Parts: sequence; C-alpha cells; structure tokens
Amino acid sequence: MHIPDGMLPGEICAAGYAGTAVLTWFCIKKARSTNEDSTIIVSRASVMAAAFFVVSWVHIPLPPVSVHPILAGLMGIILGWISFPAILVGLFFQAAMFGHGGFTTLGVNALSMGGAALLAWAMYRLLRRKQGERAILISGFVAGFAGVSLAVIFTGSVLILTIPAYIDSGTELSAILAMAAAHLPLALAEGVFTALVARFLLRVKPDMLL
Amino acid sequence: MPHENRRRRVFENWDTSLKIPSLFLLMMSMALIRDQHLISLLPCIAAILFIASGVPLSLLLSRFRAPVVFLLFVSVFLILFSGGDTLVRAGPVVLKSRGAILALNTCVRVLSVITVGIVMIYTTPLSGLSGKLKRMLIPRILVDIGIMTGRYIMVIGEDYSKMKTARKLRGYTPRKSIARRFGVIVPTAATLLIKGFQQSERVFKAMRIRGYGSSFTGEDRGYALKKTSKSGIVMFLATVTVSVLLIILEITVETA
Repeated sequence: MHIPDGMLPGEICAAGYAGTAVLTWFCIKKARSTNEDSTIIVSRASVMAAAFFVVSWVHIPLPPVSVHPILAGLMGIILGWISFPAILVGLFFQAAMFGHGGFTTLGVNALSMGGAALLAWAMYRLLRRKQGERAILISGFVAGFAGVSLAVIFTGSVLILTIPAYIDSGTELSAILAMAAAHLPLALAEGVFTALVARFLLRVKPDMLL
Repeated sequence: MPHENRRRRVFENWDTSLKIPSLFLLMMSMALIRDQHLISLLPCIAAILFIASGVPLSLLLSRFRAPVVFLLFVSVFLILFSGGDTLVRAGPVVLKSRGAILALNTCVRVLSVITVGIVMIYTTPLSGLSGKLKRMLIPRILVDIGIMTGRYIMVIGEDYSKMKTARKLRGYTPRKSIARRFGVIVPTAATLLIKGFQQSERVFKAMRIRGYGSSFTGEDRGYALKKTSKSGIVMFLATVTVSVLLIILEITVETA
C-alpha cells in the first residue's frame, strides 16, 4: 500500500510534496478555524497518528501477500480536517522506523491515504445527517470501507500510471482493479471495525465523533 | 568497530539543518534518474555514503525486508506485461526482455535511495530535533504532533499489552468466530483511543505549562550557540554537488 523510495520519478515526488504542503496548510487552517485550542488539535492528532502507526504492526495474511489495517476512515470520522496532517506524521514514522513507504514518496503516500481519509469523512458526514445508532453504523461502515478502497485505488493508479513501462492501458486498468480486489476483504473488515468503534464512541464518548 | 563508531559520530555531528536538506536532495535526484548508464552510478554513491556513515550492515539488510516484497511484485508485473523480445517462455508465461531491464533498473534505484534514507534517519540524533525542524520551515503544529506521536506509540503499545494481560487473567481465550473477536477488539481499541485522548490532552497541557513551545527554550539556545563545523559544510557541499550533477546528467542524456 505504501510506495517505497525510488519507485516514482522525482517530478512526481516533488508534485506530491507540493500537493501535501498545500493540503496540510489548508487542513490546519480549517481545523484552527473550527477549534481555537491547539492543545486539542495536537493531542487528538498525535493519539490517532500513533494508532495509525501501531496498527501497521498487525499483519493480516492475504495469500500470497499480507496486508495491514489503515484506519483512514476512522481517522477521518474522529479527526476531520486534522486527519490529513496526522496521517502525514504517521507515514513519516512508518518510513523512519521500519521502512514502510519512503521519504521521497511521503508526499504522494500522504495524498493518497490522507486524501482517502478526508473523502471518507465527507461521505460519513453526508450519511450521518440522521440521528441514531443505525445511521452511525451505516456511515461508519461506508467511511471505513471507503478509506481503504480509495487509498488502494489512488496508490495503485499512481504506481501503475507512472511506471514508464510499455504496458497497454487495458493491462494497467486490470492491474489497478486486481489490486483493489485483493484489498476487498480488508476494506470490508475495516468498514465493520469502523462502524462498531463509531457506535461504541457514540454510546461512551459522543464528543469524540465529528 | 571503533572505526565505524568514529565515522558514525562524524555523521551524527553533521548539522541536521544541513544534513537533512542535502541528503533529501540527493534522494530526490536519485529518484529522477531513468537512464540505464546513470542508474549504475546510484549503488556506488549509496555504497560510499553508507560506508562513510558507519551504519551497521545488519540494520540496512533488516530495513530492506519491507520494500523487497513490494519490489518483487512490481518486478513480476513488469517482466510479464512489458513489451520487447521474449526472454524465456514457459507455457503460457512469457518473460519480456524490456520488462526485465526495467525491473532491474527499478530495483537498483529503489534500494539505492532507501540506503541514503537509512543513513539520513539513523545518523540524526533526536535531541533538539524539534527546534531544528521548526527552523527548517516545518509548521510548528506538525512538529508538535510528531513529538507527541513518538511518545504515544510507546504509551499505546504498553496500554494494549496491559489490557491483553488483564483479559487473560480474567479467563478470556480468543475464539475462532470472527464476530466474537470483533466483539473484543472493538471495545479494546475504542477504550485505548478514549484513554489516549484524555491522557495526551493532560500531557500536552503540562508540557506547555513547563515552557514547551515558548520562543526561548534550552534546546533553541543550544542550537544558537553551536557552530556549524567545517566538515559539515564540506559534506553538505559535496552532497549538493553530486545531486545537481546527477540532475544535469539526466537532463543532458534525456535531451540528447
């Protein structure tokens, strides 16, 4: 899921950093406009970034590879705008501490996973207009499922479309779809997990949900 | 071993605000290289840097594990689906020569860039890093999140193992049923998050009360007093020169 260093051309890496810089600035600005106390922003983002980092130790066997949870959807529904900077920091730690992803590809990886988290949050907000546990279960599932699926589609597209190979577009599209299909069980599992965690938080500490 | 330690100290003492930008520029310029002849230079540059840094080989090899799996899949995809002459034919599977060259180039470039990244991260001391990152125009809020995340990775890990032990002591045994497993994992994860939020809010407030984030902290004073060494400047200039040369050579080859 994470693109390692050296995989993408320098210009794509630079563009990824530029996009990440703009989006980080925008997300922090938005978060500050809705939440004046930076203590809350920093403490919430750091706990979720740490959780994002810790879950990458959990490996789920999916022959012939193994995948790990991403929590992009859950981060979106708990952090909202701050989910993007939190994922950026989590990705940095993953690259620094055990080589998942990379430093030159940090911008692109952040755009695909952080972007997925923001879109998952948007879907959650759209579906959560109704009150009650049923609404939160549905919106939580959609956010968790979309978080993984969108991240896989973004990452796969960037990877396959930037490889300067002599591969026809049909094969490229099949590869992206195959990659997404391989992550389908994980997307479903994360959808269920996000829905149940969201319901738990609604019952115990509803102010944690945005 | 003493030689390695001495070499490592030279890299560790290399001013972070010069080391990170220059090594990062080198990584970016290496990632830019697509010409086959220039790609053969990349492992040489990475090897020189790695040997000079004194980072243990075992560490480098252990860090190659994750990207090697990824590279394996990309290589198989490239070899099978790229065009070019047929290299090997085994029934319905046809290995293409162009794909093989591309896969080899990709592997060499990826491993070279990762080596430079490992040198950068393992020779950068954490003490005083936050102040230096802020000086490198990294937004303060991002640095704060980074510092607190580093702290909470350990806290969440410890809390999780405590909860696991408590569960075992109460007689819980993991079941095969996925629904039952979810029934245990979900409250555990959610409780960890709630505890983490409350704890981190308290810790960050306490840090601020003790002066964290003010403009005149000990770490910033130390940074101001510490002069950049000559060897640090020489290494910075050498790294930047190599990076710029690589970019120029790639552009020249591409346009020729």
